[in-house]
Amino acid sequence: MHLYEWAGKDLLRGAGIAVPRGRLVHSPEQAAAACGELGGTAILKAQVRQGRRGKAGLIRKVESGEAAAVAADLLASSLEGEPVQALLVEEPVAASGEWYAAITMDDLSGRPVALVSLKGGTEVEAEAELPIRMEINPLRGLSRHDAATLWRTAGLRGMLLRPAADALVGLYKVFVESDAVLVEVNPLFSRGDEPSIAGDAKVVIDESSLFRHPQWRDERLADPMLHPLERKAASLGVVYIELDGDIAVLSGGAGATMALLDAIQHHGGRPANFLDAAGGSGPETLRHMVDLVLEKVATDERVKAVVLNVTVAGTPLESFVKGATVALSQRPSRVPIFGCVRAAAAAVRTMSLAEGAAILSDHGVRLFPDLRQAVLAAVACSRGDQ
Amino acid sequence: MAILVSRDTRLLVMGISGRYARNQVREMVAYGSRVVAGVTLGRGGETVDEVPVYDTVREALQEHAVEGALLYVPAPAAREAALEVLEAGIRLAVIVTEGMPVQDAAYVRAFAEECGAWVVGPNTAGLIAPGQCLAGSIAPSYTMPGPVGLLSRSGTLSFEVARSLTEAGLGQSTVVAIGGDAVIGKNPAAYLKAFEEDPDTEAVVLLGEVGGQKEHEAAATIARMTKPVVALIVGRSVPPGKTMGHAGALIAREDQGAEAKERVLRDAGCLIADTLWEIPHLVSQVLGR
Repeated sequence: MHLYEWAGKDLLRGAGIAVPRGRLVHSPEQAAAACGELGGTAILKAQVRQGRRGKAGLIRKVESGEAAAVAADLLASSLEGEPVQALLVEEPVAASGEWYAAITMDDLSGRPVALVSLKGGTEVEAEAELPIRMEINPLRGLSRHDAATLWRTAGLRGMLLRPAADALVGLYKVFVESDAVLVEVNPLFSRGDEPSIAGDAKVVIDESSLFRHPQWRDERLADPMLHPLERKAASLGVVYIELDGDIAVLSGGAGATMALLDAIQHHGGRPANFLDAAGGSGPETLRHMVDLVLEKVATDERVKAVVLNVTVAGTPLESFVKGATVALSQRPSRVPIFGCVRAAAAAVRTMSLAEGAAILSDHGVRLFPDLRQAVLAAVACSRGDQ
Repeated sequence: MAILVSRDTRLLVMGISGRYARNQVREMVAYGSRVVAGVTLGRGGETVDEVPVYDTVREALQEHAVEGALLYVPAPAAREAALEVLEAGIRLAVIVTEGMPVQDAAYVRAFAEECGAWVVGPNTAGLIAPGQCLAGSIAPSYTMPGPVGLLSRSGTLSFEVARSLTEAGLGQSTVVAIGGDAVIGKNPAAYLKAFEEDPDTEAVVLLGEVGGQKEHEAAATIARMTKPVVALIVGRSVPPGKTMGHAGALIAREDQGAEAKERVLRDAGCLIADTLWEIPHLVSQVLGR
């Protein structure tokens, strides 16, 4: 999950990295007051999770007199659908250079990598200037001399090496302690041999680590960009993603579900959602998944068909069938459900596949011997061919 | 032969006393896998399906020789459990655990690299060498012995594809779910090399996903392989920036999308399936059947 700039800067400050003096505000009046406190000139920075705010005009330098009006303008705007709900009001920084520094996780080596460049700001964003990179052994961490060596490779010399190395070591500390997958500062303001100042902070937290960081859990559910069903699913331990098609999907397993969505698209249909059980798919979770899809069908009139694809192996078929039929009785689907249900040997001890299929058919599920036929039928139905 | 496990592999199960682990152990023992010991701190002296339980891995190893460990432990405990297994000298660790923090996975991977161990997962359904050894929850009834090596970032997708291969009479040397997370113990390239060296594998099926660089690295390995490879990349329908269940399937850049991955794999000599049900047909084709 992406943290807001202000939250990222809190983490940096906690790790000993200097950040500009500033205040988080939620109204034009607060913005004007904060601007006055900072000496009359300030930078107003809209707090949205998407990048490229500068280009979108969401970062503005103001004098006291105009602060309220500009703040009102910013607070009424949005970026890629995300409304601006708060502004960070900061003092301008006098800098001799704008650098780039980041720590991210490399999925190939499985190791954190440090990235630095002496041409920060928009040049790195535009990929005109590629940062220099160095792998970090997580068993050993990032030492100050390794950090300094990396900056030297990037071309830095002399007393400037000290604050640069210190900032990078601080970023790695934030990366590890916050369970981040990305900590990026662009620009990192250079001020001679004085400590560098983080002009921005982009921190992405690993969602799997939230059991160690409960403070971010609520933050994630409060994300204004989440669809109500996505938020509900997240609180139930299910991953649901809203898509804009007309074929709802009830399927388990991330890979199998992605393959199913691809197949729907391949055959000319448009999937309406993604669904996956996070952390095991016990009977409880399976029932939540059926409920979520039925709610999607009930609340989105665009949906014209449902594809159900279930392969049970660890979970008994009986518990899936029971959960599904309870949900279907409570909230019958207004559109046809085309399904393919399979069960491995271990899942059919208390209910055979034929018995399960008969019960699902009684509840209106149209079952097919293979998934391809179910997909083709759903696509035909969504086009009104059936 | 197979990769990683064989009929001789003796297995230890971490977290054997949990409900899910017990069920899996029953399936593994029923299949003929040699589950020789379990470990759950505080449960030493008990048995699970006649498998003796120990408090620590070291204690278990005083009584049993073990070639591989399966980890059925909750995410917050996974890092410590994996390090316990590796420090005790076990050289194959299958981390079934879902939702292991990325940094814990990275730490374990780096540790495993230093001691020369092979980590499968995290977030894996494990592996099966049909007719020899089940180490995990890949449904045995969906597999049969044969010449196809199957590796998949997704457990459920490996079930689907194994089943369709078996129905088509195409048996498997090993089916392995390598883990769905962004950082896993071994990348697809390592499994491809192992299949290339395995005398019982004649063709390989690679089930990849959008996101990350792993398929690009795999393509470089495939270009040097003598055995044919059939690949399916899922996640074409994933909107950029969204994580669809697998942490590894987040598309951050254009070259991490399905088309870009298919292109590099095709250039490396791979046959690309458009949908999962084309796979048996393509495998028959490359095997000349």
